[in-house]
Amino acid sequence: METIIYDVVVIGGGPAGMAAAQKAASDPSLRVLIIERDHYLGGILNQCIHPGFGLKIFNETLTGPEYAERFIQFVHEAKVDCLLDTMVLAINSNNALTAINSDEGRMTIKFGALILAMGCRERSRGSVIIPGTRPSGVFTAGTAQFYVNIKGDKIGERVFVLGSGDIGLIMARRMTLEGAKVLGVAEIMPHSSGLTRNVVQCLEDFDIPLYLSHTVVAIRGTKRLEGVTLAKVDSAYRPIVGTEREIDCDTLLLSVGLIPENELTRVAGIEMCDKTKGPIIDNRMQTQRSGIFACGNVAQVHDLVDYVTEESQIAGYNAALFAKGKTKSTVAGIVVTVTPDFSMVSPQRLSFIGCDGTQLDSANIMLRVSHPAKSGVVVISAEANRLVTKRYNHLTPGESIHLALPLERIPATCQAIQIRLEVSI
Amino acid sequence: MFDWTIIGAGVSGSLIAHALAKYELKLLILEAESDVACGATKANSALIHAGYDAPFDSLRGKLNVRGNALYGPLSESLHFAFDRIGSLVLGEGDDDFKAIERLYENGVKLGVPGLRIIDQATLQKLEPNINTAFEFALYAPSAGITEPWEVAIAACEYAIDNGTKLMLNYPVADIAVNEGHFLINSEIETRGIINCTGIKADSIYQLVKGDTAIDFKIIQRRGEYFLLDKEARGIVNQILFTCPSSKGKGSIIAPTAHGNIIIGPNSEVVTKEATSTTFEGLHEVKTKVLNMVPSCPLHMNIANFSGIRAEPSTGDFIIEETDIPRFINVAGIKSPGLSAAPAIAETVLAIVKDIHLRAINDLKPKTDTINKRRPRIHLIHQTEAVQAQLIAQNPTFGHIICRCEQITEGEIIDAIHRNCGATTINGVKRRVRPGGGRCQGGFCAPKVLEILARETNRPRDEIEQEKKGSWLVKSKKSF
Amino acid sequence: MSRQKTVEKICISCPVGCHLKIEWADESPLHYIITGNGCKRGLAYGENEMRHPMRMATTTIYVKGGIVERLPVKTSKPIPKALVVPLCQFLESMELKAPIAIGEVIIKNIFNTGADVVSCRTIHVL
Repeated sequence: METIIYDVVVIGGGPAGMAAAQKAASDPSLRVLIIERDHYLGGILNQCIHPGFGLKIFNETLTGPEYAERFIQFVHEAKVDCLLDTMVLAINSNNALTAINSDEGRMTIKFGALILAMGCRERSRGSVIIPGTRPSGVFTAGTAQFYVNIKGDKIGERVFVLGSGDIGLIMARRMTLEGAKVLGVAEIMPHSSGLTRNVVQCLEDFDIPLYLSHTVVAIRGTKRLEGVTLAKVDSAYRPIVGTEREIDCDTLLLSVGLIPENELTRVAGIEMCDKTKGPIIDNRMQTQRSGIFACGNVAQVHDLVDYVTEESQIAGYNAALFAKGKTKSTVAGIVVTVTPDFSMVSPQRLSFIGCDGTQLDSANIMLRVSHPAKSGVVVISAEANRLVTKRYNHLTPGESIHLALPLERIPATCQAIQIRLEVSI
Repeated sequence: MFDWTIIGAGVSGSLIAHALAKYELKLLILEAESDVACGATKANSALIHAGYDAPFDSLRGKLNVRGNALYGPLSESLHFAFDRIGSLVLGEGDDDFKAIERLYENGVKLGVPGLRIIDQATLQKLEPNINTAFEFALYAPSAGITEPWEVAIAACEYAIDNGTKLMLNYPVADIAVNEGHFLINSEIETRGIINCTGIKADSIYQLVKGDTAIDFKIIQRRGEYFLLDKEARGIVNQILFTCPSSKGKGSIIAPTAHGNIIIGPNSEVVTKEATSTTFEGLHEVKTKVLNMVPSCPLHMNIANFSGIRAEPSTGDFIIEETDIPRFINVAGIKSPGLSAAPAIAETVLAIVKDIHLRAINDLKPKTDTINKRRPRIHLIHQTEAVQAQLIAQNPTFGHIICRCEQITEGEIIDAIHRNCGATTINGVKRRVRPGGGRCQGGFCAPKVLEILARETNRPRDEIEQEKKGSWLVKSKKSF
Repeated sequence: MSRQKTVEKICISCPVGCHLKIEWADESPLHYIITGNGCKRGLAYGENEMRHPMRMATTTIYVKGGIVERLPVKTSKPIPKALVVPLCQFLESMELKAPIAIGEVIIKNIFNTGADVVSCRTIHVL
């Protein structure tokens, strides 16, 4: 079996993988490889044909494919090698991984440093348990987006969407533009989980009703979907008997959540964070296994690709340092905890020292609130000391918060920092 | 003119075909659905019961035990998964203990191997996650798990390899009884019919009886299930039952042959072929399983489904030649139907042999049977050397389509082109797993659709999920 | 007596997302009364949305002979909202041939809007 050796190997050629690879390859002495399971780079961006990408990174609003192509260019210019149509089967214990493709068969790839950038997958019907029959015509929104935007298929004529996250909203618009009638979007929470801009330009623009505090309680149809039952829910998200109404449709799109794709990570025994569903990472984007880094949706679900790019560049930079053997300290000792006001925080560990042994100035902290709040103050403390306080208006779970934590404010002996939200009534 | 026509390609009909295909017979299988195993066979607990449950003097009791024993060699010759992981009937209190003792005695009379009653300490060691209230259990080491649809698929493939014809999407609407033969749907002539039609067994029988009333009725009992992600593996190690009591039959929780956890069923009489799951049914199953295993990770659910069992009004299996010569009923095959299926096939073969003896033309065994069904290729499970060889010979074995279960394009293509091959998305799922894993087809379904269209030379619009009419996409352009 | 009409819109000028109420009488010239705005931008947004709402349009066009079958395209700048659906319908009947470069102008000055339909992806020949 063939064995290949690279300094830095990146699993995944989407926006995270490409940005990380490009950054790692800015050191021309390092050989960098991207392993991508699809026939081309770009990842999920290839099917996100709508604009809204790149406002922060390029100061332009690009479509997904355009944003991807910028990085495909960068990656080629940086002389990063790519293995396309190749699937990683396992990350082994001796700084190697096993991959497979049609040309080479099985391969062992040895790496100096590894960057996990496998992205995420969609939650399916089973994770939300919708009773009823099992006809065709029930799709997760991303899979539907693939059929429509990549294959050019018509997937249905009368569409209902469950879940008002951005993917659901975007697909509501897309289906309308493709000539389908979108009958509504149901959202179990009392607020939309997507960007307001999308609620306006995807639903309002086309008079598509948004049913907040509603959910789909039954699916009917023996062969192809014939309809769904919509019901209002109470404050405990339980369907309220008597509020059911039937909606005739031939297509149901499920936009009910994304889960970081960490099968490889888990099987390799790399410690996971229960809140993010990704590996535990530190501010250098390193996991608990030294030399293995993670970035993008595989670490935690993002809502803006610009932040994916930023953190992936940090991952690439540190992976390169590690591969070059400049690691002085690999253990990130400080634990980051959050109160239940937040559903997640990233990173979950902090280190003062970079992968080249130098002192780090600050760490990028990413947070997601559990519930919407008109305004609140994010307070980062090390025991009794308040390190950072920052006021935010219009906090919502659908829009992650990003702030910088100046590391010199943390006492040298500190073991843990706590983050909470102070909401004024 | 066919010698025998088997109506219904569930596990019963398929294993009967498998048995008859070894003889010099012109065999036909008619299946109303788009694939074999589309009735109860694909929607059950996938258990091969040890056999202590049905009364020792019943047909189903005897056939269960015999069937269980046959599963070992059958799984090897047909290459389907079968694992004797053992089962436990959990009990607490005096009433349960009496019930378990009765099951034990019944099982001993039936010759169920290795049965014993175990105490709380042993029980807790075997199953650390069960409710600590359980005090004892009936342990049956011969109970096992399998992939039920694969039993039928493999059996049909074997039969077709040996000359049997299979017609899918072919419902039987009428059967004319003529001199010496039957005429099905005014176009198929057959000397004998074996009725293996599950919940339709009474209606199909009625077709040949005309105006005369038939002597049994099929009651439809629906059961609903949860299927948990592989991450839930280890929550239980054996098949767990609760004691049948005045509170009714419990649900089971068990590992599956693919590494998942299956939970269910409940039991509800339905009047239509309503294979839907319901809020109430799933809630009932959920309550029952949480009572057995309080920490059961139901949040790891990846799919729900329901299956309808054909319960005979007579209370036992009906396996007999009727008063209409050469019309054999195989009806009311509810639990333990899957477990008994190989023995049911044995029984039907004996009936068929008798019929042939009567008619003077003996049943002659074929001399050129293809003996074993060709094993499926699961690339990832082969040695590195075999993998390298397979990929070198056929590069599609290096192209992974199903990431969750690590299935290659080559395996999918093989599943399509074999006899009794897949023609639908779910057909591919049942045979080689894409769509059955964690992502439930989110990633792989578009690829499977493309492969199906290409390999069966059909446009994308014609590829279906399962039933005829379950279209997925309509292409805007035909290529 | 002219009739009073109202419509509600969410302003997307900033993350606040003020709920605007826009009223007007069925008369000429049209005069919009906008309330609910938190700042001046809301007034401008409301006026724009009523008088000449503009949108970026994105869709795909069939491509023959490329590594993928659909080319993602966009309008080079926002076009009148009412033209978005007709544009998508119009592009459905088009057939392009690979190779196509990113940024390539597929249709110049679509529907006389001054906006071009441009390619968003490089599609190489299969």
